[in-house]
Amino acid sequence: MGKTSRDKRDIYYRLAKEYKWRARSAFKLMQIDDEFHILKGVTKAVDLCAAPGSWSQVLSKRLYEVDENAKIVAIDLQPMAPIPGVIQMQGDITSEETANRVIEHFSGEKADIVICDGAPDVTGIHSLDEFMQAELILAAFNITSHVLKNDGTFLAKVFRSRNSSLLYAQLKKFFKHVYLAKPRSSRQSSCEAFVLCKNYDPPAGFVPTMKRTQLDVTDPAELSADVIDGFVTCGDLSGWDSEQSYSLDIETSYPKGSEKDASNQYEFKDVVQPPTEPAYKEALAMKKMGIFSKLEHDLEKAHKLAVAKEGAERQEKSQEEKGNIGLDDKLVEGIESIVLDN
Amino acid sequence: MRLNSGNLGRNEEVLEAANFAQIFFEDFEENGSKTAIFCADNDIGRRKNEFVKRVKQLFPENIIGCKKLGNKDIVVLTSRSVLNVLDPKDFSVKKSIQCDYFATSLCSYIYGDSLDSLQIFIGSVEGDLMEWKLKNENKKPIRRKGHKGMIFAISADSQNIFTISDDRTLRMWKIEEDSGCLCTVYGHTARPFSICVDEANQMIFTGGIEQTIFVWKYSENSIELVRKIGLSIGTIRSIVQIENSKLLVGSYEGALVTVNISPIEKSFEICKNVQNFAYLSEKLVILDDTNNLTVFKNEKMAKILFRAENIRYLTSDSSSSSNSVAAWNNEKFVIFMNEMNVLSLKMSSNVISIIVSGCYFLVKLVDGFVRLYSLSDSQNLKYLKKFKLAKPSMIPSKFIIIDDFLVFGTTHGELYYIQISTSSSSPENVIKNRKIEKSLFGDKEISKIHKIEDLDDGIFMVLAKNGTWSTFQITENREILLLNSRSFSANMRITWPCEFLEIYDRNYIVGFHGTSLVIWDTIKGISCFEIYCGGGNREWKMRENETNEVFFDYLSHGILRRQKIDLEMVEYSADIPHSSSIVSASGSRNYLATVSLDGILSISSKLSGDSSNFQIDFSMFAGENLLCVDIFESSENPAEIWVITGGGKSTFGIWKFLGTNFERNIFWHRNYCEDSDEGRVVAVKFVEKNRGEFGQEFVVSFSSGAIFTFSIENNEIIAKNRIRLDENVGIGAKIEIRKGQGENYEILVGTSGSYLICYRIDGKNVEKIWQKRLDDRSGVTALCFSTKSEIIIGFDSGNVITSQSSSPDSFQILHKHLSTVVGIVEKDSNIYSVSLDCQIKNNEGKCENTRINMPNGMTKTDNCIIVIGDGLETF
Repeated sequence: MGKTSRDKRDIYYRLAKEYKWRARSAFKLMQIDDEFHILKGVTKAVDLCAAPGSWSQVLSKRLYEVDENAKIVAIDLQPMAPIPGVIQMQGDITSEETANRVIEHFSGEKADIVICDGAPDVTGIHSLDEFMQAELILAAFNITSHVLKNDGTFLAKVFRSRNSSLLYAQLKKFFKHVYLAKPRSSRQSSCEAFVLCKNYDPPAGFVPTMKRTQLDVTDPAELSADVIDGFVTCGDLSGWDSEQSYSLDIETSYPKGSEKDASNQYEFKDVVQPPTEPAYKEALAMKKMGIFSKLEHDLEKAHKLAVAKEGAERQEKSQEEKGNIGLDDKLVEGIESIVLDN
Repeated sequence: MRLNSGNLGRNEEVLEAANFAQIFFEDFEENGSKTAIFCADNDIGRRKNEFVKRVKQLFPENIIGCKKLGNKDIVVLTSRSVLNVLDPKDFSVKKSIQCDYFATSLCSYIYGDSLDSLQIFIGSVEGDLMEWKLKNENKKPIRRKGHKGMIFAISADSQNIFTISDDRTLRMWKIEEDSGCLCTVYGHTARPFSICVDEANQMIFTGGIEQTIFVWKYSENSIELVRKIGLSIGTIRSIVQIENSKLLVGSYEGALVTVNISPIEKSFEICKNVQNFAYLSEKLVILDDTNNLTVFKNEKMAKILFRAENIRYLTSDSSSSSNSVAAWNNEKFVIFMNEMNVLSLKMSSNVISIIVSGCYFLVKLVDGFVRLYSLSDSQNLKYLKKFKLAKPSMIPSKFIIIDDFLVFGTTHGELYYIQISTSSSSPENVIKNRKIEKSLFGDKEISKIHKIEDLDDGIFMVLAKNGTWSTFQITENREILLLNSRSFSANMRITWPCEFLEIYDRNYIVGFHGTSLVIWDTIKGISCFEIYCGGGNREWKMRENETNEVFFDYLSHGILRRQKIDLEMVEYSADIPHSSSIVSASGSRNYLATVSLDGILSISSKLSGDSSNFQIDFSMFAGENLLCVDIFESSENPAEIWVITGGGKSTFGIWKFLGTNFERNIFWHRNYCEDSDEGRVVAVKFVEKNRGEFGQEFVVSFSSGAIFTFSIENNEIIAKNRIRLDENVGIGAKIEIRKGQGENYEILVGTSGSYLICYRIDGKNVEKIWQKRLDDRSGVTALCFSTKSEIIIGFDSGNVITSQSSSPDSFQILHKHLSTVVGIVEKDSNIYSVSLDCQIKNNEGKCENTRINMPNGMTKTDNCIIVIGDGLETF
């Protein structure tokens, strides 16, 4: 595969690079906002699990660039490169202290919107990933319950899989409206979607907690598809289809067909923000240094050594048996001469 | 299928437990009967003799640890660090203790025998090993730092805790006190998911994405990697020791294998100072490094039968059944031998190379001529043919005689044939097109030409050093037809296939992978034995003794060594040939074709509603990134079975199996790519001419938005019609074919942009009949024609709609799912749909759950409905 291969098969990946978004997911938030206008009138926004920061970039563009008084707080365990108008907080979303620090930033007021595009570092094991994602959303909801104002909005990435209806049912208790939004920039072949909860309205007497909120509904079979208020496809109008392969020489403006400043000539661009520090950095470095191939080599060497040792033992043994070849040398030479003369 | 931890006594129990996610402990006596506890994601159950009791949805979280205490209470730890004490009688919760650590964890290890002495280790997502001592109702855990990424699994012996993590390291810690990490070792180059500790032998077994068992030896303060056992079963999810020398290894995709871990019997030395060697049945022929050629009565080398001096080269048939040998010096002198005779001959000019096949010898001389001799039981060396090669530099590497045909391959990947009885003296290319030949063999040496012995239809197979395995047939009109060519995936661990081996009626391919010998099962598609044998230019033979033991005799640094082969080193307990999730499936009356992203196509039969009862008839590597498949079974007897697969790089493959004897591995196959800029192949469909009769045509939809039709003429694929969907309707994600009148047919296209379009194809004419913008804008993800000609559509939104008749004018909602609809099937006039929410719905409002976690599709055969994804389930 050439380095342009992903550019061909993933138009949003390519658009993200061209428009300097840190990740293609920026389009997902923009398409949801274009459909639901969730950022309209927002002055205080929280972006959970923000790194590498593409959603914060959208918030910066759509809130801070419009109104300099808009306050945006981005929280992640990992550091990320600065974004204009975005206050970065390195912290754990499962801790109450983080929630309090957010409210401090808003001078004691609560947020209009909390968004979360976080996903567990995908292990490739579906049930594990789904479970981790569900847990992450609950953690995100827990901190949201501390920082979100009444009537506020909560938007989070979900994997629509087994038992995810339980999550919708639970959110429905805290928000007047729960929608599922699927931006066109999110692939149909992926079960990713976004749960959009509007009009925060916690039950009377509810006390925000970082501990697990108890579930009343536990059997997903009890729930019908009506547990959500609707499934909405967003971004139809942008014209780009995440499933489609596009040739490299097309005009890549967003939305499709709009004015574009730069030349439309295709030019390969690197990703704006390379992945953050992976856990396996050291293992990777060792691999690159060839330590593992050396290790393979050592295994071989050990094998050879064992073989050599065993060989030496055998040799000793064979020394004892030496001289017994079973045939008279003269006879052998005799046969040989007959054959060679033939 | 996932198995997590615990020790199990018998395989059957494990198979039965396959639907449970985790097995924590077993074989504890309870009222005189043996009991094991199984935990699914959030259920707990127990097995008592043959009975599994399953308590549903006990906890809202995943269970990550379970142990029985001295007072028989059972403690269960859930993922957010809640310890539940259960009554062993009815599993009722007696007590719950929440640790002061709320983040989600994936694994734990519970140490101790009473609630007060419990010491619980929890592997955190950040990589800390949380240690929670429950003494005096303590709730504060201690963080043991070290790992740089999520801990995936924990195991322990009586002294130490062992952890594996996303940082790819294996670490050892003291159970007693936090004296820091005792030892950190690297080795894994991808995520390790499973660990198993064998305290008696001080061994640790780990495995994960690499599909390899890493075997480590540990001592008080060190861990050393001692062995890697490559498997090709997909991501390793669980390792359990079932016997002293046997591991049971489960893959995420559902394969379950037993792996013999007892050290492989070491190779031993047969003879030293060897330049080359050969066998003549029992007789051992040695060319030593002083250029002496000796024939011994047997491999014990006790009796010399023949000796010659000043010999430089020795050659024999590579096959285990070799019965002829040739040896020569630097000049014109050649010795030909078989079991009975030794003959020598002076050639007209110096010898360049000699190759042997059965009783035939192919001799290339400096004068550019190649001569064919035979030495049969009679004492005479027969001179059969003389011919000249196209280029003087060509050197034959392998040949075979089939009837009157001499077929030979060269060291540079050319394949020629010549008829022996004719006067012709210039061989012809088997593959007339040089470009195809080059793409077939990659200019690499032909390493084996093999005739299928029990077949009279002139079929032979060719292995080449570029890693391909092709099949040819001499047709009735004396031409050679390429039937198929295939390669091996990286998973299969066979980069250089060299030889066919038939033992106990099973067929294997012997080859090499790096510095290892690999024996690969041609039916199961797995490497069943692998051993280090050193690199370099190899001289080797496979031998089988009278007690059916198999040996690999090879030369290593001038020493002839013998390695015993254990063809049962890796055995399948549960057989899923796919080593990644199944992405598409198609069923005919009796057969099911499935494809996975790792490029495996498999065909199964004998499916029934009982999940455990199906049989894989055939599986092969069909090319990387497969995405879609379609199958057609003709009504003839025996049936013709056609399969198309589509995937990445605009490439699709088409297969024809005649009859149902898949084990012969004989089929017709072509790969085809019209234009690599069309993106992925997203959908493929055969056109049926009349009921049960193959229409020789098929339709392919690409991610560029193009839909092409093709026909098959004279064993080749011909492009016929090209359709380009309008901009902004999306791509033809799903297609269905409807037979029209006469030769024409209709293609129904459901697009990613939620349009339904119908085209009529009549020979070379394409007509768009109608196009409909669907109300549900989420995109078509499933499509089906009912027997009543209704159009049934599934959407990304989870909706399933149906038309009243064949016209697309009005639709009504049939089913509502909470996630993407991935498959629709009509069976017994009921419509079934399955979605990523893991539910199957039908018209009677019935809703069933599939145990497949991430369903990718649904299809049917005469007997059952099949849901595919992370495995396969039948209904």
